[in-house]
Amino acid sequence: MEWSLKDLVRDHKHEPLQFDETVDVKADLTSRDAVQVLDVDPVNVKGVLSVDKGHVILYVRLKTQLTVPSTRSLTPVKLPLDFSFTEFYVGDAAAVNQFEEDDVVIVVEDDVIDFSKAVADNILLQIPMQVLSDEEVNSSKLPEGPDWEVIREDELEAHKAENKQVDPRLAKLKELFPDQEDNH
Amino acid sequence: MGQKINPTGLRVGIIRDWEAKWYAEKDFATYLREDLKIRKYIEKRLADASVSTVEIERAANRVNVSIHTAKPGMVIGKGGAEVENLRKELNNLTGKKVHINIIEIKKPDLDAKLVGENIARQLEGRVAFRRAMKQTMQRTMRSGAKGIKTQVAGRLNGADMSRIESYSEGTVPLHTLRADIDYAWVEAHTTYGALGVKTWIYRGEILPEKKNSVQGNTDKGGK
Repeated sequence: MEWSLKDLVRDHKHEPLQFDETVDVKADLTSRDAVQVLDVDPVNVKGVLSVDKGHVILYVRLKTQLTVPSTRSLTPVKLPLDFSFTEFYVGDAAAVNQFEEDDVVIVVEDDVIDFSKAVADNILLQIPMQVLSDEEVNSSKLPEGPDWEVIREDELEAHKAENKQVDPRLAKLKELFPDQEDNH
Repeated sequence: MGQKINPTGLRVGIIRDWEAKWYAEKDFATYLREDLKIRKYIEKRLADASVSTVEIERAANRVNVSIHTAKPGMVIGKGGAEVENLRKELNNLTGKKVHINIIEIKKPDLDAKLVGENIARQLEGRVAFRRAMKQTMQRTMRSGAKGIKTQVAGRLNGADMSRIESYSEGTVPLHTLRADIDYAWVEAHTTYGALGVKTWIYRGEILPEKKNSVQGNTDKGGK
């Protein structure tokens, strides 16, 4: 799905373009990130495209479901996505400075706004760095084996305090001042 | 000075701990070389496993390696096969008994190395760099960071001339030593060449604990 920036500016200057479509980005996403994306359902995209002062504003609401590997056990996990994004498209790189720092401004090359790429990019960016299955979220058991174990970060401090031992070679120093308590 | 120096190095011994915890006199050089070998091997082997830091502790003829990662599944492998192989390889590499702790990072969006790697991976996956940087920064701020700064340098979007673009949100007080700032530099290898990605994340202040000592009370009360 692609649009010409010039055509959009010419045809939709006064009336925004509304759309409600289903896009298939499975092949694109799995080829771009085969490790993280195992499967993608067809993506439902609803949105409005409007023109303001020669640049295009794209507002999209997106719904789909991804299958990604669990970060703890690598088992496939269904990840429903329902989010929206707003992007600005400009024809000239100099126009980027007109926007707020928080705005996502894309400089259009060869007059083409690639909508499928925008959808695919935003889906990839929505995949969290940590994905756990419902079972893993509720379970307190972590995998372990001979000479290796998995520990949660918050358990690490407690684990360290438990194993904290004074070097036995320094233990004798305690006997030097038996009448003083250890205040530190 | 805080603007130029590596924020991690500036804070070691103040609010940050060392990543190697051992003491040696005549064996110092040997252990140091061994540490470097271990780190290099883990970095190469677990390149896709979102490894943030590797801590090395030593006791007698034993080495404890703690791998901080957001994806323990990638380190462990199916049925623990990967980590078993890794342990055996490290045993051979050092000639010592190696114990591996895999520490699952609770909030990966607050770890500069992982955030930087995430941006780099998106850039390698041909995601527009502005989208990648803005989205990642928003996620970090939503996770509770007080500030984030990211910088990407190189042939952005395949442009002929390389340039640097940086974005920031919130505050990043680089010169404040009690400010817990995590910093990382990673490289994204794209078809147009390498892009450098720098990330600074400000996670709030770390204040010293108050000592409840008898000595302290006497000092305050006077004699």
